[in-house]
Parts: sequence; structure tokens; C-alpha cells
Amino acid sequence: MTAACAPTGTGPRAVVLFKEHAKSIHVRTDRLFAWLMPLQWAAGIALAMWFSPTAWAGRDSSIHPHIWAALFLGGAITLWPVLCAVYLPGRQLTRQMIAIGQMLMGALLIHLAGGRIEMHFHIFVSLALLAFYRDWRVLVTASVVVAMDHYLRGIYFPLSIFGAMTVGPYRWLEHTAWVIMEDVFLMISVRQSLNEMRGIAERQASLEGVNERIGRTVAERTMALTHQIAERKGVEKHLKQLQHDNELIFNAITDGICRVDRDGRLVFQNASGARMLGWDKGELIGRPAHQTIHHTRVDGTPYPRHECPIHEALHGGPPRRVDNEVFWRQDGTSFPVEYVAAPVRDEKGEVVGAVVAFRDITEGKSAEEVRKRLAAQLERERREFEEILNNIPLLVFEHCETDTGIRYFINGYVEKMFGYTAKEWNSTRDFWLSRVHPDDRAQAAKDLEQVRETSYTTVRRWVTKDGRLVWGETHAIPLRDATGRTIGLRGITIDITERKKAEAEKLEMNRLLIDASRQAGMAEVATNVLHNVGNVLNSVNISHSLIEDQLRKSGIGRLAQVAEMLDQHRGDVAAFLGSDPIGRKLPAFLSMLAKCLAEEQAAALAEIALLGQNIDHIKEIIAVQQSYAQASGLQETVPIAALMENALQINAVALVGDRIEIIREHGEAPAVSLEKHKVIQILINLVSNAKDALKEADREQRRLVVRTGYRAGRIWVRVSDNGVGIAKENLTRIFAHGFTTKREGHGFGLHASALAAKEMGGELGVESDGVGMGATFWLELPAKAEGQGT
Amino acid sequence: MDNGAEYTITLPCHGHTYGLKQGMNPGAPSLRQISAVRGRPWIPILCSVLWLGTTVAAMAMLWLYENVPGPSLAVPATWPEASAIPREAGMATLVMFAHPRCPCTRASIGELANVIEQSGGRVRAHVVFYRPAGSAESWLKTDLWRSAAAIPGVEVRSDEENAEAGLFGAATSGFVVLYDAAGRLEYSGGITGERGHSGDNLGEDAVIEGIKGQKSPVDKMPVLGCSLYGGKSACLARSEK
Repeated sequence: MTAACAPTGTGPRAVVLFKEHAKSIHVRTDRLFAWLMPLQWAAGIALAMWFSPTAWAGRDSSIHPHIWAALFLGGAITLWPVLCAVYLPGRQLTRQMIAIGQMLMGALLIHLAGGRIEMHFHIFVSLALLAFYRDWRVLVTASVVVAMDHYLRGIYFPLSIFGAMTVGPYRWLEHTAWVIMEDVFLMISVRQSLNEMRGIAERQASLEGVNERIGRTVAERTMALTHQIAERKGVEKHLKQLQHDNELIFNAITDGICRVDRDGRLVFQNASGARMLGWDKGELIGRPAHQTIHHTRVDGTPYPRHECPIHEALHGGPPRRVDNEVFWRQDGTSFPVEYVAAPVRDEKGEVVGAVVAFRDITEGKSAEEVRKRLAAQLERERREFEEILNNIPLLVFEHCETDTGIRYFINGYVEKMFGYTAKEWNSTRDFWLSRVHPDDRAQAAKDLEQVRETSYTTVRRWVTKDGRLVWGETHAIPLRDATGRTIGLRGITIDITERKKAEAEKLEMNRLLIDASRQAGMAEVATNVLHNVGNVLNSVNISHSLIEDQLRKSGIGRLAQVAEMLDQHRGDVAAFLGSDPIGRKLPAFLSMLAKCLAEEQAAALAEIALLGQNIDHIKEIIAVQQSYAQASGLQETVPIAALMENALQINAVALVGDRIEIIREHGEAPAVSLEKHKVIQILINLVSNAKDALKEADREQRRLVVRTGYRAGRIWVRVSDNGVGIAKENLTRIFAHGFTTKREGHGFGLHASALAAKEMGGELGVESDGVGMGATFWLELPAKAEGQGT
Repeated sequence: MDNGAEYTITLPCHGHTYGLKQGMNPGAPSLRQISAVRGRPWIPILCSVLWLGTTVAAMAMLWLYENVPGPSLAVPATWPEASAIPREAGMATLVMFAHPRCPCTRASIGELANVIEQSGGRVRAHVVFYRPAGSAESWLKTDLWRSAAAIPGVEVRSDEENAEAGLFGAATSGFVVLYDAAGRLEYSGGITGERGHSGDNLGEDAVIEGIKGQKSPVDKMPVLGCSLYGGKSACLARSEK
């Protein structure tokens, strides 16, 4: 089809439509032949195999050439037109090739069928199929092929086509005439089809124009509608979501909610309400509300509808709250309800129904009482807490800054502590800072910054309203909001003014105590000196008494009598001495007297020596006490046994006078370097105490056992007596300052001895099995033996 | 082929590979589009011309083959006495020699039927089918045998190893001899215009005229069929004249 065939009436669009239609027809028909021709080829092969499968020569057979012809020639005839139909659909060349191929295939099939008349119909059928193209050129080409076949065969193989050797020059036309006739009719049909296509194209173009206009309009309106629909869908979706949400809300609410229409019929009932009323959720819909759930009063009398507040709401009455009626369940039981009935109005304000929210107050009535009781209790506890808060003896404060404002709190103790009321204290933001002592104000400001990060504890001074200075120990923690941001602080301040005073007093007391201690120490020293000197003075007194007594009783008087007697017998001394009975005893008497005087002298000398030692000891005691302030004492190398003997000697008179048996058990001990006089002092005290204990015990046999020894660099001394002993509860106190069991004791001797032993790096201890069981005092001191390095 | 997909094809005539882009419409992409890639739109036209020439030439060769006569031998001018085929005195006798399995002979049988019908009973017709020695009945009695036997007035017989065919000089299936009532040869040759093709033909006309006692200008025509004698392909054999 060319442009000449194209419609002319409606412009280029009609032409385009016509050509598109024609093209689609061509392509469709190409596809038809693309399937048909291979089928024909297969049919030709089948035909050859049916009619002439083998050729014979006598008994010998071979594949008939028709088979090869069907296969290869048929394939060749089919191949190119099919390729054109597949790869060049809709093209003029394709149609022409198909037309030629179809006719050639027809010739082949006729031949393979042995020239059967029936197979000639293929030609006419092919022409009809080719007419599908609606292109007269195709028909012309096909007809030309038929004509050429007949013409050429008429020339070269006339017998095969005409059955005669000689035919007229136009005999071929006789054969092709029928083809031409069919062509004519087919072309007429094609033309008619083209005209119809033209008309269709024109109408379609026209319609398209209209459609385009309509389409534009429709598109615009559709777009608008689509937009509206989208909006509406959005709204509907939103409404559905709201409805769904509302339904969820309504069904989640524990109260019953129902809605009635103007006729009083239930149009909505939530799940809780249905449950309370004993109905399934949808069963109530459509039922008359009053007759179903509100028909009877509490007392059992019928409840007229017109008296019902719900009915009143349906007629525009105000919302009503009722808590003294009942609703009726499906099973005929009732329950007390509290309900609110309110009218539902439309946009015009007209009542379209009523909504009722109700709840089962069977438990609520008691719950209300419980609530009131709990509320009262809560209020009470709040007041109690507030009272406690305001009366606890410390300041509780809070400072909070949020987006909604600043909140200060301080309890009532502020008035007691500072003299300001809470209102005055919270009057300004930094009022508190103004009450901090000026010297502590800078630190207080730093603490305020620190509390933004972490808590703090501080002690600062404050100035009260009346100008007093108070000490406060503040503990503060930061207040944070949900995001962790610091929004304030909270804390307590404890009034530690009294504590500070106490601390100051304590310091003063400590100072005084130290002074007193020092004084006491000095007194102790003096006491110690006096005690020790007293001990020694005892011995001095005894020595003095002995010497005095001895001298008083001395035989010197007898010597004077002898001298007087001799003086009387100055003239006859020899006779006196030889014949006088008294005179004869005089030489022996003088000898004895000399002996006594010598003994007295020796004793007096001994006592004088002992006296000298005691005096030395006193001097040493005083020197030692004077040297207490020094770090170390005078060291002397002496055997411990010798020191023990010195102590015994000092107490010897008393020991002898009290008839105390002294048993000495001195072990092997080298001379050791130690503070001699301190040790002697301790030993004197121990011996003195043992003497007193023995004297107090008043036994027949008073025994004092002294033992000394040396072991592992330490000297040890044990002084044991069988005196009054020491009660077990006193064993731990015996060395305490001022403790004594003696009637006339002062409690200083053992204490000082223990201190002295400790000062020397040793220890003083006591053992006793109890009262009346005697006691053993032991002393151990570190000491370096003579010859060992210092 | 997937419309709209990207793919490559190899054209058989050139062996080139072309790439096709997505979106070509409608259906399969066209060679023009393909060729346009390389700028050679005349390829389809050239291929068409080559194809046309090839197929026409092949058709011509087929027709040539179809018109190549089969082998022929000398035909006795009078009825051979040695023949076992009975000849009825006073009537023309027509004998067709056929290969029972030659497909081309189908048309000859068809034409024979036409001849017998137009003869008006004035001819005694025989169809002699070649039978190899030792062959089974089924080898001989094919549809051709039955078709021939079904023609009224036609006697069908077998001819073992072409004994009779040799007497009459028949070498090709479909060979017909017509002897007049006196036993004189009126016609010899085929009665089809083309190998295996039915339709009017000079041989048939000559036989009909001879049966009617009319003088036909044609007394001999080539035979287009399979050879009755083995050893060569009859469909491609040349005349042994």
C-alpha cells in the first residue's frame, strides 16, 4: 500500500493510522506465512514419502528423487521467504518473496502429487491467503509466477502442462485466466478492504482528535479526581485509622460506652460495656437501650422511659451524671452504675442521639471509700512528713531549674539555723550565698559549679540573721533530668557549730591535758623519785637506827668501867689482876670486850658502807630522774646477780626484821650493759613489794626467792614470794598508775617500774594463782653481754 | 526471539554478528535495522535475487528430470506369437507393462482407466506386472496391481523376470503397446504427459484413436517411468535408443 492508498480526508494523522494498520496487517500476514510455509514444506515431504518414496529398476530400489526434491527444493523455496517474514516483517520485499515462494511451493506440491487436479487448488487457496496482505502487488506477483510457470513449461515441456507438443502462443493464458479471474475478485475485495481501512483510519483519526480533547479533559479531570480520590482515600484511611484507634480506645476503656440513636436504639457498644451487661459485643446493636438495660429501678419498680436521664439527653437535655441507679444484665441481674448521659449533635446542632459512659460501681462504692481513706491517709502522711522535714535538726534544700520554672525548697530548720523564714531564704536566687561567710564565699561559688558534675561535701561558715557565726557541713548532689542534664541540686546542711566548739574545747583540753600530763609527768617523776628515794631512805633509816642502836648499846661503856676499875686499883694493878676475883676475870673480859667492840665496829662499818651505797643510790635516783628528758640513760656493765644483791641489801634490815627467808638462785649470766640504777630501782621495788606481801600474809614461813639468769640476749629476774598473792582480776591492773592493794600504797611503784622496764626495752610482769597463793614478779631486759658489740 | 531484549544474531548469508538494542518494535528486529548498523540495506534484495535464481533453476532441473524418458527397446511390429498373453481375434489388444512398485505408474494406470472407459469395450486390455523370480506375492500385488485389476475389462498378470516384457520390447514401467485386431502394432510408448503426472497427453489420445480405428498421427511416445530392468536408476536413466 502506498501513500496514494492512504486516506486523504483527515490529514496526516489518518494517513499515519492507515499506514500503521496496513503495517500491522502485513506483519500479521507475514507471521501467518512464516508458520504456513514450513508446514507446507513438511507436507511436501510427507507427500513425496507417501506417493513416491522409492524409485525402482527391476528388483532394485532407491530413494525417489521426489524425496530429495521435497526436502531440498522445498526447503529452499521455504527458507528465504520465512527469513524475510521473521527479520523483515511488514516489508514489501517480504510480501513479494512470500508470494513467489508460495506459488513455487504450489508448483512443487502439484508435481509431487503427480499433477493431481486436487493439488491445483493450492494455487487458488494461496492467492486467497495472499489477499490477506490487502496489497494488489502481491497478487500480481503471485499470478506472474503462475503465468511464467505455464509460459515457460508451455515452451519447454508442453506435454507436461498441456498434454500436447504444440500449443498456441496464448495457451498459457487459458490456464492463467482462472488465476487472473480470482485475482480480479481478490483485488476488488482488497480495494474494498483498503477503503474500509481508510475509513477506519479517518474515523479513528477523528475519534482520536475527539478523544484527545476528551482525553485532555478527562486527564485533567481525572487528575483532579485522582487527586481528590487520593485525598479522600487519605482521609478515609485516616478516618478508618481514627475509627480503628477509637474502637481500640473504646474497647480498651474499662468503662462502658454506648451510643443510642434518636429512637433510643443502641448503635454502638464497646467491649467493656457489653461485657458488663453480659452480652456479646454485637448483640446489643439495634436493641432499644432503655428496655434492654435500664427498664427497672433499684427498688424493683418499673422505670418509665420519659423519666430516664438518657431519654432526656436524647431530647437535648444537658449532660447528666447519675450514680444511684442500676443497669440490667442479659441474665436478669442488675449492678449499680455510675453513668453520664450526654446528647450527640450534628453540625447543625440538632440532636442525633446520645452517648452514655457508664461503669460498674459495685466495687467502686467501696473503692471510693477506700480512695477517700487513702487520700486522707496520704494527706496525713504528707503533713507528718512535712512536719518531720521541718523539725529534723538539719537543713534540707533543693534548687531546681526546669523549662517550666525555678523551684526552691528549704525546710523549716532554716529559721532555727539562720533566723530566716523559708520564704525569706527563697526570696532570691543567691540569697543563700549572701549568708555565707565572706571568707568562704568564693569556695561556695566553686562548690556550686562542682555540683553540676558531681556531689560534694563541704564545711563553711554562715552568718545568721542576728549576726552570729554558725558552721554548716553541707552535702549536695546534682539533680538531673531524664536526659542527664543537670537542672539543680539537692542536699542537706548540718549545723556543726557545737561540734566545732567542742573541737576547740577539746583542743584546749588537750593542751591543758598535755600540760597537766607534763605536770603529772613531772609529779610522777617527783613521786617516783620520792618513792624510790623513800625506798632507799627506809634502808638509810634502818642503817641509821642500827648504827645508833649499836652505838648506844656499844660496849664502850664497859670499857669505861674497866678503866675506872683499873684506875681504882692504880697502885696494885698486878695484884688486882692476879688475885682479885674480878681482877682475874678482867683480861678475859677485856679480850671479849675487844672482840665485841671489833664486831660492833665491823657492823657499824658495814652499815656505814651500806649507808654510803644508799646515799649513792639516792644520788643516782635523783640523777636518773633528772635525766628522764634525755633519750638514753647511763649504761653500766654489771652482772644482774650483783644488782639483785644490791636490791636485797638495801632491803636487808627489813627483810631480816620481818624474818623473811631469802633464797637466791642465780643462773649463769654474764655481766651485761644496762642502766644499772633503773634496774636496781625496779628490783628494789619488787623486793619491797614482796616484803610487804609476805608481811601482810603473816605466815610462819615467809619465803622470798630471787632468781636471775641470762638467755638469748636478755637478762631475766624472777622475784617470788608466798605472800598474800594477787587476785586474778587485779593481775592486769597491778601495773596501772595509782592502783594498789596495799592499805598504805600509792600505786606508783609498780607503774613506774613497768614504765622503766619498757623504756629500757624490756617488760615487767606478774604471775599469781590468786589471793593467798603468793606472787612472782618477773623482769626481762635486753642486754648486751660484756664483750659484745654495741 | 525475545522482543525488546538485547541479543546478538548471526546472519547465515554473511556470517556477521550484529548487536540489537532494546526497544526495537514490533516483534523481531528487521534485517534492515540490522543492516543499517553496518550501512548495507541492499543485502536483502541481493539475497532475494539469489534465492529466486536458485529455486527457479532447481525447479527447472526437476522438470527436466520429470521429462526424461525411461529406457526403451525395439518393439515388434506384430503380435509376438511366443507371448503367453492371449490375443482375441477381431479385437484390438492393449498391453501395459508396469513395475508394481513404480510410483510414476500410478498416473499411467489412471490414464489407462481413462482409455478403457473411452474405448467402449473395443479393446482387450492387459496389464503385465514385473515380478522378480522368487519374490513373494506381496511384492507383486501392490495398490497398482489392485488399481489395474479394478479397471473393468483389464486383465492383470505377472511377468516373471520380464519374460513377456522382453517379447514386446518393454523396458520402462508404463510402457503400452496397442495391436489392432489383426495383430499389427498401432502404438507403443507411454500414456502420460510427464513422469507421474496425470492429464491429457498425446500418447493417450493416440491409443484411444487407435482403439477406435482412427488413424493417429502419433504412434510412439516416450515412456516416463521406472525401468523394468534392474542395475541402474530408472529415474535418472537415459534412453537406450
